[in-house]
Parts: sequence; C-alpha cells; structure tokens
Amino acid sequence: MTIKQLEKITKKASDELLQAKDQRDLEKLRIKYLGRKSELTRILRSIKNLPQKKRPIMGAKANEIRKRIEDLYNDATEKMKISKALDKDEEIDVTIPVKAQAIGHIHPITQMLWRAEEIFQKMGFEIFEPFEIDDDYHNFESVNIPPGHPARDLWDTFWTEDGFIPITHTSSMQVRILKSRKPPIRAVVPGKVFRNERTDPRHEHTLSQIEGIYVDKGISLSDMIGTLKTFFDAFYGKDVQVKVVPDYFPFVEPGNGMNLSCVICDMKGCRVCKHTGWLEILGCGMIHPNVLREGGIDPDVYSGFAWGFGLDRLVMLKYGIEDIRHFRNGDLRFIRQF
Amino acid sequence: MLLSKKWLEQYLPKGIKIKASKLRNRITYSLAEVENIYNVGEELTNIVVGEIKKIKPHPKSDNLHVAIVDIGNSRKKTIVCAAKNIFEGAKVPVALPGGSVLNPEQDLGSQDSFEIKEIEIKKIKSSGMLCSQKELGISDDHKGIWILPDELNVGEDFCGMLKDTILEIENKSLTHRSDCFSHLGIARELSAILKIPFDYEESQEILVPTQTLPLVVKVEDPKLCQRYTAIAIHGVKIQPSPLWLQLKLLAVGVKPINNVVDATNFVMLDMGQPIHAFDYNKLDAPRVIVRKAKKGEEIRTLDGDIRRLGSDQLLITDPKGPIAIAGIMGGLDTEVDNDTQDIIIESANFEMYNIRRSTNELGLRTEASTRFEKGQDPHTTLPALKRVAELITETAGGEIASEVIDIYKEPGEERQLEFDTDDVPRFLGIEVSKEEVIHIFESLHLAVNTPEVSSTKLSVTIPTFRRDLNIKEDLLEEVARIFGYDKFHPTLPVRDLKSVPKNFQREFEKMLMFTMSSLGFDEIYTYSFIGEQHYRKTLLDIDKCLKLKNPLSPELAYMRNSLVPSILEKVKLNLANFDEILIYEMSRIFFKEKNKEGLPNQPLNIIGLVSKHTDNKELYFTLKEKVIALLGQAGIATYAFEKVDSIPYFHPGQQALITTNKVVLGNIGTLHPQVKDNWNIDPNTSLFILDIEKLFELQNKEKVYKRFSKYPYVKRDLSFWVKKDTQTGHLVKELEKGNFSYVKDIEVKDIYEPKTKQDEKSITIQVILQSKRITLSEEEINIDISVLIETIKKFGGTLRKK
Repeated sequence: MTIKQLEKITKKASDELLQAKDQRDLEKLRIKYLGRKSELTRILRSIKNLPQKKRPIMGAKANEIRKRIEDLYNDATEKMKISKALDKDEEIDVTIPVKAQAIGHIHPITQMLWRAEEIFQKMGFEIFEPFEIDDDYHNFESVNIPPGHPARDLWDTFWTEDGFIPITHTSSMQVRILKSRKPPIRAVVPGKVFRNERTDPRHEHTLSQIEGIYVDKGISLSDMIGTLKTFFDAFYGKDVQVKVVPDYFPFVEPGNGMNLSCVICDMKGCRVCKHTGWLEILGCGMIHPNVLREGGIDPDVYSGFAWGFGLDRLVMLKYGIEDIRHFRNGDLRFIRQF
Repeated sequence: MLLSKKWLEQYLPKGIKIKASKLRNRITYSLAEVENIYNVGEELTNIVVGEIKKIKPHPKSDNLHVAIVDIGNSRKKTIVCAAKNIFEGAKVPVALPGGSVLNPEQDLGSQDSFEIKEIEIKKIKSSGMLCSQKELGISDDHKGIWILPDELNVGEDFCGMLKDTILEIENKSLTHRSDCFSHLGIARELSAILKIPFDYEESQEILVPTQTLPLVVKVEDPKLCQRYTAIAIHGVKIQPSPLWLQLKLLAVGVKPINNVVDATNFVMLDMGQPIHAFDYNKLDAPRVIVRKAKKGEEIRTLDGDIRRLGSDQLLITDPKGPIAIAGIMGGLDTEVDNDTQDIIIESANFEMYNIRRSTNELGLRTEASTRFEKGQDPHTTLPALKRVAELITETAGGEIASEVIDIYKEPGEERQLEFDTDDVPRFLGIEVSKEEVIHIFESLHLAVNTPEVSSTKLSVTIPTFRRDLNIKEDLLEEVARIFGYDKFHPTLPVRDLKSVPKNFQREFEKMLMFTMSSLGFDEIYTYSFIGEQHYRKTLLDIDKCLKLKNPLSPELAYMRNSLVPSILEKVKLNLANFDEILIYEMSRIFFKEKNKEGLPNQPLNIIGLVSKHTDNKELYFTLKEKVIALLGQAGIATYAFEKVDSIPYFHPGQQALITTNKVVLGNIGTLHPQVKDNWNIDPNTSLFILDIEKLFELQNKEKVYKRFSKYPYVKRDLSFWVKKDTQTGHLVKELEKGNFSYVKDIEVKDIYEPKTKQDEKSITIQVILQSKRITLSEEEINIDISVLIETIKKFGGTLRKK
C-alpha cells in the first residue's frame, strides 16, 4: 500500500469519469471508485492494520484522495447534467414545423400612413383628422372653388341627399386649420377621400390621402420643393430626385405637380415608371391668397404651400400590387402578406 | 385634347421644325402634362392615290370584289377587296406591293406595320391593297375603304400628306386656360416657352354681302350672352371637304362630315371659338332670338335625342321655338344637310357658369360646351366668324348674304395688374432679373409698363384671352413656368425649435390598433358606402342612414351608420380560405343627426369579429377576454357588460352593452342565427363594437402607482348554488362591494350547471386575500370570507359543502 498506488487510483478514476457518456456510466464509476466494495474503501478499511506511525499519514492521504475522487465525480455529474444529462425519452423533435403565433396584420396603407405621419411630425407638422362628410363650404368654396366653377369637374363628387359631401380631398380641413392656429402653421391631414368613379384595377371610389400645409412669412415655392424632397428622402431612405411641373388646382397659385425619380429602378427605366424614370406622385402649389384670406391669414404678410398625395398608389408602387381594389375588399390573403 | 404638330407649326416662323421630344418636354415643364405623343404616317410607305376603274364580282367568293385600279402613269392594278363601300370612279388610297400599312386590329397610336405583298386570293392575283383610315393610322374607322376627295391626282404619293406628330394634353390641368383649347392658343404658348416668334395675324378683310338674305338677331339676356355675331351665306354647295381640311380634323380625332360642318369644327379647333351653322331655310323665320328656355320646352338635338329643357338654360330660337341649346348642341330640325343652300353662321360668347350648369343638367357635354364652360374671349367671337365665313365660301362656294351682325353691349376690357419684381425671389425663391421678367411677360403678349426705371414695380396689361390672370400670384406663376420649374433649386424654410403639438387621439388610435394586432386581429378596410341589401341581411334599418344623391350602384347608395354589415360581408369570403378568422376595422360611421359643426355626426368606431367552429359560449368569452384586454390598454379601469336583448343582429340571449360608469361604450354578442344564415356564415361568429372617441374621452390617462404588499397572499375557493338566471357579473360586482379588510380580488373559476338541477347553477369563485402589514391568520381570513358568504346568501345562494 503506497501513496503511489493511491495516486494511480485517482488518475484512473479521473480519466474514466471524463469518458463517462451518461448517468449510468457515472453511477458505475461511483460504485467502482467510491462504493463499499471499491479499492479505495478497501484501502481505507485496511489503514487500521498499518503501523501506528504510518496510519495518520496514510489515513490523511487516503481521505484526501477519496475527497478528490468525490469532487471529480460531482463535477462530472454536474457537467453531465448541464450538457446532455437528460434521458433520451425527454427529447423533443425541435424541427417539427409549426404555425406562427397569431399576431394580427396591420393594413399596408395604415402602415404607410404611420410612416409618413412620423416623418412629418419629426419635421414639425401637426396632425389633424378630417371630417369624412363635410359641407360644400369646406370641401369647395373655402378652398377657392365657388359653386358652378369648372374646377369642380376636377373631382367626381358624391352628394348626400341633404347636400353634404363625402370629402373629395382632405383640403376640406385647410381653412379650419388656418383659423385655429397662428403662423408658423405646419399641418398634415391624413384621411379617407371619396370620388364618384367606377372601380377597376387602377381606379377606386375610396382612397387614402395625406395632405399638408406650411404657412409662414417668406415661404417660397423653392421651400416647397425642398420640404417635399426632404420628406421623400426620409420616406424612401434614399436621395430621391424631384421634378416640378405646372398643373392646375384652384386652391393653389402657382399650381404644380411633383414627380419623383422612380424609386423602383432609380431612373434606369422600368415598367412601373413606363421607362420615363419618373413617377407622378403629388399635386402641390403655393396656397391661393383667397384660401389664406378665408382662413384669416393676410396674404400680403404670409405665404405658404400645400400638397396632397395618395397613399394607395405609394403602397402599390412599393409592393408591385396590380389591383387597387385589393385594399378595401377585406381579403386576408392580401392583408396577411404585410 | 389632341394637337397636331403640323398645325401648330403653321403659327410659328416658317422653317421651324421642333423636335417632338423637346416639344413634349417643354410643354410638360411650362404648361401642362403631355400624356402621349405619337407619330402618324411615319411607317407608311408606297401608298398612292388610285382611282377605281372597274369593279367585278370575285368568281369564287360572294364577299369579295375584284377592282381594277388606275394608279397613274397609265398603270393599272388588279386588287381583291372585301369592302362594300367602293364604287367605280372612287379615288382611294392604294398600298402597292412592297409598301407598308398598319395593323387595323390594334389600338390607334400603337399599331404595328406590315408589308403588302402580291398574293393570290382564291385564284385571283391581287397586286396591292385598298386602305381604310385605320390601316393608315389616321382614325379608328375601319368600316370601309377611305373614299378620297375628287380633287386629288391619280398616282400622287399619299404617305407624305399623312405625316404628322400628335400630342395629347391632359384637359384637367388646363381647366383655367380656356385660351389653350385651340391650336392658335397652344402655338402662342409655344412661342413664349420656346422663345420663338408667334406668326399669326388676324385677317383684316371685310365681309361684303353680294346677296341679300334677311336676318335679324335679338339677344334677350345679354348677361348670359355677352356677344352674338352671325352672318348669312347664300348658295353653298354641300360636299366633302378638301383633303387638307379632312386631314386636319382627322389628325385631332374629329370625323369629317361636310364642307360646312368641317369648317365650323376647324375654326373651333384652330381658334377655340365654337361655331354653329344653321340651315337658313329651315328656320321658321330669319329671326334669331337668344333667350332662356321656357319650362317644359323641348328640342331634338343633333344626336337625335329629345331634350326637355329647364328654365335656366339658354337657347337659340326662331319665332317658333328652340333651334339650338346655346353653346352646347344644335337642333336636328335646322341641321345643315346635303341639300342645304343657305346658311346662318353663329359665333357667340356665352356665360361659362350657365353653360356648365346646363351641361350638367342635361348630361350633355360637347367640344363646344367644354370650351364655353371655361370662359371664352369675347374678342375672338367676331374674328372667328369672319374666318369661318371665308373658309366656307372658299370650300363650299356661296356668297355672303347679310351684313355681319354683332351684338356686343358691354365689351370686355383689358385689365391692368400691378406687379413687383421683388416678389419673385420672395415668393418663388428664384433670382430673375427685372428685364427677364419683362421679357417673359411680353413673350406671353402681356404689355408691360414700367413707371420708373429704377422701380421694381410694373404695370401689366392682361389681354382679354387670358381670363386666368387676375392677381399678382397668377403673374408669378407665369414667371415661374416660363422661367422653367426645372431650374428651381430646393431650399428649406427656416423653422423654430418649438415642438409639435401632439394629436393625442391619433396616438390613442394607433395604440389601440397595435393592441388589436397583438390580440391576433387582422386589420381590414371596407367601404363607407353600403346598400339596402346589406342592412336587410343584418336585420338593420337602412332608413336611418344618409342616402347618396348620386351613388355608383344600389350596393353603395348609403353612408353606413354601423360597421357591422360591411364586416359581415367579408366573413364568408375569408372562411373560404381560412378555418377561423379574427378581423377588425376602425372607421367612421355617419348619422343624420348633426354634430357641433353642423355636419352629420360621424363617430369613429372599431369593430372586431371572430368566426370559428366552436360553441357560442366559448366564442363569446374568447372575444370578451380580448375586449377586456383592449379596454385595459385603453385605460378604461371600470367597466361592465350589461345583458340586453335589443341589438337586432345579435342572438337575443347572447348580447351585452359594454359600459363604463353607466356610459355605453359599445356592445358585444354572438351573431343572431338568422343573420348568420343571411350572410351564409357557417361557423359561429361573435363581434364587438366600441366608440373610439368615447374611450378616448373617458380613459384614465395617468397610471396610478400603489405600493405592493411584502406579505404572502392567500387563496380561498367558495362554491355555492344560485338561481340559474343569476347574472354572475352582477353577483361578483355585488360581492366586490363588501366591507372587507383583506380581499384583493374575486375571480370566477367555474360555473357548473348539472342536468339534475333545473333551476340552479353552481358558481365557484376564487378569493385572493392579502394584507399590507401582516401575514394573514385563519381568523382574519374567515372574517372576510364570512362577509362574502353573507352577500351570497342575500342573493339567495347556498354554500356547497366541500
């Protein structure tokens, strides 16, 4: 019985414990090295037969070894638990395909609207919601479209029997906003608008629109171009080119249309932009002095611009949606893609 | 509106040929969008004028003819042809072998060409093809061969005559520019835009009558007819117009009719002034009276329809009755026809608002009314009359047979506008010199007066044809567009650091939508318009809805006052693709009652619907859990579900109002079996509605923090029998009102309705007790429990033994 012998046992136990594959292996090793019939137990028992002088040393050594093996065993058990100590029958097939937890989808137009609203808010614009049914004054007269004016034909208008209008544009809020705020006035109005138009893949009688106004001292048409470009840069997350052309809307003077460099092909020419490199996106212009005056703003002191664009078209462009009617027919095969 | 480039170029200095692409670009940047541009005649080759010498039937076919056609230089071709309108002696376009024509099956403007070959048709060799207008790309007419005017020489090359470039401009963006509804007007614009001279001079010739036909005109309403000019012509010979005139009309999509009608159309397209010609001899008497219609008066218009007239419509009449609806359409009874010899030509100026109202009332829109309703220049009325009279005497013969009648009581005057060049940088953000501004105005035929050389102020004279220039901003637009929008540089306004007022309701709505989404609901949009059928199926009454005066269809004839019918319409559609659905919509609904603004009241509602193959009870509670979650997010701390039976689309025994402190927020229930049937919905379906604005108004905006207890809580279950019709929600509400020390929460764990008990059910509640100061002892717990038991007994409940 030597210390060397004891060291040998330790080494052997340590090696074997390291190679144990499962809980059963470990248990076998525990019995082998620490059990009642183990060599170590035998040695410990036999210490009493040693000469008095040797006993304490051997005793201490044997106990130390036992402690070491116990520690090794405990470590191995712990490791085994952490790594793969669980029984086979607890295993699960983690690859089984499952359906996603149901989280509702938000309508693509709503999503686009929020995105636009957020950018405009950061740029300092306040959000107003329109009345969806309004009167002739707010929808037409107050924005410089008197009764009988040919400009009324620019919109195919619905009328209720008692003479109200499902709004043809969110410009119906312009004069209300001008009256309720003092310059500088920055506001956007997102809302539903209605046009008396038969539906087909490219036409809808119900549309989502966002329009805005900016009124302050010294606001110029170049400011309008810059502001809208800034918005679209943020909206598309890239530098877009803008092209301003003349157009006619009675509530602005000058009246303009604004085209954006095609965000699909970056002006290389594609089907969407009809190979022109440009997309017609919005109507805009300098607010007509009659409208400013109607809103209690002195056009000799202040100037401003206004614009409006449809969300439907932007969403269609973004995802390549072929039929505008998908937006409002409530088909979840459509909605669940967004 | 279609414009012919060839026609426009007539009014620009000779020899100037503008590149089509440049034309498109500059018009788009400085006037209005060019929607389309296409070349006519470009691909045609080897087409000559031929004369049909002989027509024989095809020996092998009843539908074909064999034509012998003279193509000049004493060459004749045998051509097999199917058209029925050819006759011997007719001049026709002949495509010779090797030449190209266009595919008549394709759309005008995008036709492909194909080559003509010598072929054998049923054993007869055909050496060429007689062409229709469509095969030459000049009109949509493919009904027969184009019969050409006799004046043409046999063998003449025909392709060159057809060559032109056609521009299509968006009418809407020119709504304010009545002067641009003509070639002359657009050419005048082009001269300013392209900085080239405008080459047009009004004819100064005086029309001298060489015959005498009596003619009197009386204008009864000079407000609606500012100017009326007319002239009589004697002895016209009605026949097809000369080719140049036909081609001009065809190029811009107008069908040639005869030399008189074509001349009136030509002058309208050229000068913008609509012209009308009457058959002199068809008038009751040569007295033309311009007056308002008498109620119930009728006229048969040129299109053959009988029009019943209202009292505001302006008419052209003879002593017997109406002969035209002023500015809109002539009458059939006084139409110029092939036998017409004497005519009256009318060129007049009618008030735009009246014309527009009449076109709307009559549902009749014409080229003439389109121009009149935008306002015409009264200074063009007379020159246009002279122009058309000259053209008619030239192409139809005849002699001027009356003085020029010109009734013009209050001549329109040129306006003066003040303009400050300092406004250009301020308002437009561009630097344009004073000289350049003056140059821009002058190029647009606006006369500029500079009172002082050093001053920035200008006085600008507006010609009568520019009815759209009324304020200085209009002039600023002229500077901007002629300067060119492509030369503007984007700038940003200077803005303060003030934060933007938040729209809290909008934020609230957004938060609710996110919540709906996390509760599993998909958002859908449906129309605000609804039909009677939808309401009937939903057991709702459509009469309370606002009705549209001009709906698109009966299904879209009303503005909905409930979101229920629209969402139900979408259930079946989706169940065809999904086993169960959870959908919602947030939208306004509309009532006849007025809001504070005097508008139809239009609250914002949210509707949520679940449709699933499960029993109604489970479905109801699934939805109720979601509603409570939503109410929680909305900050509605106290709420109640009050049993009702009055909501028609719900099962009478499975519906409730959702309230907070007695205010109704909405309702919830499972669908009435009849409604389910009507909508063809198979699985059970439950839905709720909430009024967003009420939620927003009544929400607890601030969260309240309470210190939580460090001591353990205790749970106690209590089971008891109560009458079957006991409303559990009520009972729990009552229990909660008890005078407790430690009860924190009462939850319903189970409701048991054994078949053995007819009138009773068992309710098990779980009571949570907790103190902030101590660990509860059994005695303390029992004090609270006995309070609960007292209340249960008051409700007639008996405790179940454990």
